Amino acid sequence: MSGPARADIRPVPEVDQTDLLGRLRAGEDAAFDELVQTCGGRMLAVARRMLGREEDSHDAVQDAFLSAFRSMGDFDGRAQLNTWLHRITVNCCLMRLRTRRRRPERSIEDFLPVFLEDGHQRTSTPRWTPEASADTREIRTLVRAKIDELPEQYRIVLMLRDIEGLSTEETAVCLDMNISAVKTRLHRARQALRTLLEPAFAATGQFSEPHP
Amino acid sequence: MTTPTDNLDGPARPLTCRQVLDFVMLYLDRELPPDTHERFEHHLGECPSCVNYLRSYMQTIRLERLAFEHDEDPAHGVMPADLLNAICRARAARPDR
Repeated sequence: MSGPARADIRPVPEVDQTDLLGRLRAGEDAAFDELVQTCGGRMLAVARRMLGREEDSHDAVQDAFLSAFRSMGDFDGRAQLNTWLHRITVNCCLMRLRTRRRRPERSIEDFLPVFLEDGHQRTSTPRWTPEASADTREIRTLVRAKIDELPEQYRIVLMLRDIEGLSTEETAVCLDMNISAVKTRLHRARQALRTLLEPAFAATGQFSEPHP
Repeated sequence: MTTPTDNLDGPARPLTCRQVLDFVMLYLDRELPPDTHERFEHHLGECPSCVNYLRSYMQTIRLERLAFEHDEDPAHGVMPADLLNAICRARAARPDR
């Protein structure tokens, strides 16, 4: 369930990749333009997800391309070009986040379940309405807003693991954390998001069916 | 947070709600030791609240992914012209070209 989440990085077709790589390594200007045109949109989508602000996202994508151009000689071609660029973009976004001023945020503890001394839940968890599975713009907007409410260090782990599809090990390397800490942080981030979504999706919430 | 390698008060003791909620991710990832996995499921058989928690945790993960799925639509894949030009200019200005 919490393994690499998505395989949504559509690869540059293999033949094209070989051809494109050759031309990139030869320093052909048109090949660099083609790379930016082909892969830039997806890199921008990653940056927007991670950074939110449009200006920061543009800067991160530009950093990522310049970094990729510099290290093109190190790319051995075994991975997909898109996957390689995706990782570079993620790293550039993380660098921007590290230098960005932190907004005031609540403690993760505020969103975690609370227990009685005997280990029972203090409040029973309600059943969620089936509407919580609907794919509507309204629900997507709500979920994004709630993810933004997570404390930053938890939001980032959740984004890298569940949305960007990095493995636990890759996330640990990106964030200079150990694997066990990544797992704990991901679990807490999901628990906190669950808590934040519950008022809308519990059987009596905003998205529940009206009672006759 | 409890870990499955912590002392869980002997193999025969049932898990508490606190332990079950701590182990949800490891349960879904099938990373719990067999004995703890069995005790986890035994607890679910007796605790509707923890069943609701597990289901809502899974729905949360699904909702996260749905929330960003449409980012991959072609309409989102268009590079703004000013960004495209900025990258081309920055590349042209590199001293190591």
